Amino acid sequence: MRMTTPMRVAAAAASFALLVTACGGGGDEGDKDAGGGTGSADPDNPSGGTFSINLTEPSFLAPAQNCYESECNKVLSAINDPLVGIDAETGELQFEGTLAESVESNEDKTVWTLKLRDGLTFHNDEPVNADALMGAWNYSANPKNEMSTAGFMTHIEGAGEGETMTGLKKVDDLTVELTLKAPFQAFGQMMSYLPAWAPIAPACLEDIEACNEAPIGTGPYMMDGKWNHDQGITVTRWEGYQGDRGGQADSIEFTMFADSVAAFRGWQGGTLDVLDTLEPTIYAEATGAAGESQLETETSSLTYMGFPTKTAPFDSKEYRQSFSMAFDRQAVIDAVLNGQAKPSTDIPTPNIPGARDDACKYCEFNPEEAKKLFAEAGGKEGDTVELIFNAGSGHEGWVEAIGNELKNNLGINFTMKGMEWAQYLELLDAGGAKGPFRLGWSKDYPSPENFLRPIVGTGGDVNRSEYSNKELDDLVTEGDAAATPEEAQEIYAQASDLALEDLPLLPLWSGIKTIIWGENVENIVWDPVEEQVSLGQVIVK
Amino acid sequence: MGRYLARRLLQFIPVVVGTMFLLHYMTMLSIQFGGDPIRALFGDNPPPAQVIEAMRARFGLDNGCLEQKGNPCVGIFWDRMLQYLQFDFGINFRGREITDLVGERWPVTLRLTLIAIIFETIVGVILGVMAGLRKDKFVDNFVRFSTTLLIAFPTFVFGVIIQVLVALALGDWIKAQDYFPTWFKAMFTPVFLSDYPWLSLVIPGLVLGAFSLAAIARLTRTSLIENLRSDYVRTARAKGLAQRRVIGVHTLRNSLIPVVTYIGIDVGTLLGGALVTERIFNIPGVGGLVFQSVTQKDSTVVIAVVTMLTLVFLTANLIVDVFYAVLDPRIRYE
Repeated sequence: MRMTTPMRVAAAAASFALLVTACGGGGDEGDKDAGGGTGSADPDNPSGGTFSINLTEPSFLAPAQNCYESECNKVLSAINDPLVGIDAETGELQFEGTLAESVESNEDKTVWTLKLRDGLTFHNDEPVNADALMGAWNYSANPKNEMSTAGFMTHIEGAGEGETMTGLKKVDDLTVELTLKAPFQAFGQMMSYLPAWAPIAPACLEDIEACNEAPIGTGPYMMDGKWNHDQGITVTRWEGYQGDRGGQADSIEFTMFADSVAAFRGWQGGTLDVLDTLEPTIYAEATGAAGESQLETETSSLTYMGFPTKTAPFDSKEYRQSFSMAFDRQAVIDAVLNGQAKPSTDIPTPNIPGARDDACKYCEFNPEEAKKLFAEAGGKEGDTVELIFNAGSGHEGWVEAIGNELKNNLGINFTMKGMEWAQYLELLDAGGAKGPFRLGWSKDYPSPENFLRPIVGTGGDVNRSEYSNKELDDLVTEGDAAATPEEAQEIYAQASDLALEDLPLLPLWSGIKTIIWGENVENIVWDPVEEQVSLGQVIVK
Repeated sequence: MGRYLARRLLQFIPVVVGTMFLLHYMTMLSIQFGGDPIRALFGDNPPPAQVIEAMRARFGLDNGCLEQKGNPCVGIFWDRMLQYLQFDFGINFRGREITDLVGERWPVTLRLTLIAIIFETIVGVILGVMAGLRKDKFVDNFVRFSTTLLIAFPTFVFGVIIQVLVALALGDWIKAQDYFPTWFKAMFTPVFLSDYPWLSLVIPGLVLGAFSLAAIARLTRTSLIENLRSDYVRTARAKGLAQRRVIGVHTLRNSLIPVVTYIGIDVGTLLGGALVTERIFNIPGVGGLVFQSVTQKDSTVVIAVVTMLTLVFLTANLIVDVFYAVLDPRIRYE
């Protein structure tokens, strides 16, 4: 279900309200998919009340640096303010409702100076200052502490080499200077991933285990009691909150569901007010039951298939291109995925500033051209291709659909190889795949760089295609040193074009997410930077 | 009796050790053939390799024997046994003590299992007696038909049907009526509510006990019919005892021996069934913990919890065996 025109108007109205009342939780203004529901949020006159939203057991809550998945992030973004914000349209940094007052870099983007707002404290009244930030980042960068987001620190000089990073310098009580290993223009954007950069309260560093049960944050809400494992987490308005991200509801209950079908049943039974995960099996039932109370929004998650570019026949560019043109992405999405995805047009997903909607010319469905390319590359009818994916995660359907299309349009045979998750990852890490393999990527921060470098950069974190293109690497590096985000986006786009010509991967689609809610709440707004429902905006009727 | 108990308790040791070894071997095989669980925890966006190495070392998954397919890893097993002897059950992948995890969850599963056992025993025996006394009449045919239906449905189908039809559809109607008390309405919830720790478990308990209810009804029925033809019943009748006494005291008491045996074994079935039921109704119990740990291949949790469940099962069956003597005076333990 696409958003209808009246819904768009309502969304625009809601976004406008956000703009004029200046309470955007990270720059939702003007985003066409940002809003749903009717009422508007007035931060000076909060609605009060309590609402519940679904959650699955988070991995860790403290230190925030150990949070690298959506569930802990959902809780942490309610009890913490982000360090910096990003305008969802332009990708520029913005400092509304953030801990930092400003982030500036030197000419060549190697030295960054971050200034905190004065007078901020943690929930336990300890001050938010340069020491709290540096303590958190040093803790994260130390491999001994096994932090999941340690990767975010790797740009800083001295990261991963012991207890303190040489690249951190305290200028004064509220100012930190960071020296990077290399110029990096998107470093400011990178700091928008809240958990990785959140300051840690000194009391929390002293007893990490206790803090994990009742994390201490800086945000508009604070923990109400402890983390009730596998059952729920309740956060309540923090009276001492100084920032301007103040929430509407008095408290939020995160109700945990191990299974997302059960979560939908809970929503039906009235236990849940907001449900942001719909299992494909109950998608039709859920959207039917929710009626007007639903919002469809685009996410930044990219689904693609990697090619083993060092293995014949996938070492041929034309062969890879022919695959990409031999099936209709939208048809597969409609047939197998309830229409809940958007065909790829670029490597960065549509809601990333700088992503383009017409860049991928081989993503068009064109069976004649595909056949021609296939023949050019020496492909023969009856060639057998192995399609590899991790089994039991709902990928069987679309992998098979694509396989059938390839069979119809190119005349190849295909076999499906579903593997266990761990085994699958090991195979990919070792680079032993013999055929196209399924992969996914979600952004850490909204910059095209966050897609290009890890996915198609030489030696990139998830570059399982073993693709290497010096020109592309140079362009990404050049983009890193650009003066402004717009300039960088242009250079990154050139890099993306190279990858879309060589096609070491088969870009498939980006995600669409549907959120449904019940009678007790309104003004459900999607925050495209945090990639979740903007919890502070939810109004309890 | 004392010697009997001592002997039975000693038998626990080889059973528990054997179970543990089997579990251990199976989890080792699943890691050897299925891949490294620590790597799988992080998925598509892994942290730096050093972080993964450090975690692997902390959970003892850097042991070389995990690379050799089929190796039983006796060293790891031995370490685990020594650890258990000091009542240390280890931690899960999130660093939480397994004793804490089980401590939080067992009261929920215990309540669920209790509701199931009470329900299946009472309703099952009553249905069985009714059917047995009116063999081949309408009641008997009805019980036989409905119990076959219950047995034919797997829990994961039956559970969802009851959840949608009874907890939701019927529940919506009941909640709209004024004359039902609040506590009654609280029973009709599709998911567990921590505000109603007993009432919100009633429907899941019925689902969990449904399969065994059918079995108990059928066992009671068969056993009652058999005993009704026996000499001592004829004698009791000839003495002129009232029907109620003949059935209630003489026949039923004897007929319940197979039923009691079944309930003992059933504790195992219920604990296994709880895995599915807890998932459908979002109940934070031990079954859910096992389910989650199996999917994450968190072998420390799987082995520790299943070992505890084995002990529960053994104890339940010991109690059942002792209970025989109460039902049948001819049975004496030396």
